[in-house]
Amino acid sequence: MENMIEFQEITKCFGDKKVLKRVSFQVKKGQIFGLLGPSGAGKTTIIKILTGQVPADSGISRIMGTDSSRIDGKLYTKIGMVLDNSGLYERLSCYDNLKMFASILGISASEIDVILKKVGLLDARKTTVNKLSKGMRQRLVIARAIFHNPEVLFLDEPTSGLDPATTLNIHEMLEELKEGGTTMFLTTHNMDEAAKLCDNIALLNEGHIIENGAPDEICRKYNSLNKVYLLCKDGREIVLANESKSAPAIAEYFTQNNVYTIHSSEPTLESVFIELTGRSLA
Amino acid sequence: MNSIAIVNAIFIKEIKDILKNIQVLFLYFIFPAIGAAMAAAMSGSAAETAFFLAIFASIHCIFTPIMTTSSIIAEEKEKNTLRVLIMSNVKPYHYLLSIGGFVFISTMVTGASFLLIGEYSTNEIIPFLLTMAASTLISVVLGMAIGVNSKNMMSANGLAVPAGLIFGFLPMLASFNESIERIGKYTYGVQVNKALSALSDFEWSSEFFLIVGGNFLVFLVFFIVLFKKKSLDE
Repeated sequence: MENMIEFQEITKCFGDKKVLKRVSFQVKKGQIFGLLGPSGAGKTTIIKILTGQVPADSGISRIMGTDSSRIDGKLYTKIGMVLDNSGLYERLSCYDNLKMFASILGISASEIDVILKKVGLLDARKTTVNKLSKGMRQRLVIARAIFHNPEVLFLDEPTSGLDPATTLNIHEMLEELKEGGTTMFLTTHNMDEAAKLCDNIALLNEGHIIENGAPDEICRKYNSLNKVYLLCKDGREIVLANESKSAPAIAEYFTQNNVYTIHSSEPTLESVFIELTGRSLA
Repeated sequence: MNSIAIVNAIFIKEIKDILKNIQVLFLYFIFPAIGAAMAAAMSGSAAETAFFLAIFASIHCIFTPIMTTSSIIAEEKEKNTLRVLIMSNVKPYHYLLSIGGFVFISTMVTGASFLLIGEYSTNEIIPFLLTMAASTLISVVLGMAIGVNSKNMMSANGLAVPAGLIFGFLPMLASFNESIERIGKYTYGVQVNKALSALSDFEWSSEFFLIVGGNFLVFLVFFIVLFKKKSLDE
């Protein structure tokens, strides 16, 4: 599977501050890659370097084989971006915002209502952006970003500050896009989002990648407790070792019909991050 | 991607946007409105009416394009919409041509109202429009330079308002003060006002064309230098 995104040994300084320190990762075609880190870790800087907005001081950054510093108009038409600042025309309606981009990108105007329906904004097509809620604006930004069926989609904290229903809606959209073959690069400090959506993640802290891999693999790797927890119907909490020796005891509780819940002790990405860095993702 | 389609798309967007932007829309109509009010107030005196109409027509084709061009570009930078356009395969020249073209046409259309307000003869119409067009073009270039140089609307207004006042209101001051007139005659504003004040009798001398042409070149170079230094979307 080819690499759609390559980020090798990238270093970036802003003045005296070294923001990225030899950061490396790749994203394969059709994957959702998540970059997790607290505010100020360098996530947005990485997206800006990848999309050619900011040059790296050293290292290689490529999208679809093209150096990020040489991204031209043709490649921009294969990329979609949902960035931290929406860039919507506040006085124009949802329809008019997309109409302009349809004309620029050579997309038929008939596709506008299709994409608005897809993101759940068809009823608001004539509503001006300054009257939209935050969630609706974000959906419009996503509509604009996926309008031209990009091969690679960059999302910088796409659900930050949104309510759970809108967040779920957006996640469903992203999963649909993944099924369609879109490669996605997502930054977030929401570890549930990363665990749910991403095929691979990287944990970023103070400009370094401190861990990378599939979310469940990372959690298993740091599962030092290795326990099984039973909550009995009589209120007792039983802790057993997560090994074959515990199987008869567990079976006994089930035979007695005394098990309310049972779960293992895998850490969350948040607890892994805290263990590795001593700080939380928030 | 068709360049014409891109320029057209941004132009149409600008028309829709400006109709909802009261502050900018106001600028297009304020000076023709003041000119009409002055003309009505001085309906007994043709000479005074012509004088004030020429003053406000000059201000309209100088102050308005400087303010609107710089404001449009600066707002797009501030709201990040310009960044989005550039990353959608819109080249800087597409954008500047659209915005410059839009401001030029809208200034000329609203400026043509002075022809209706004033009692211009048929053979004065073309010189009036050409003079106004030259002034508008120079002001659009200056407005672009200010817009490119500014990060947001506040900093753009900080430059555009003084520039608009200096070039736009200098003709009025020059008509009352010889010292100001002696220095001010080297600005396009004073030359344009002189031409608009006496279209039938105006001497279309080489001095007029050299000064107006020279001003245009100076502002064009100024814009190019700033553009190369800052680019459109810094």
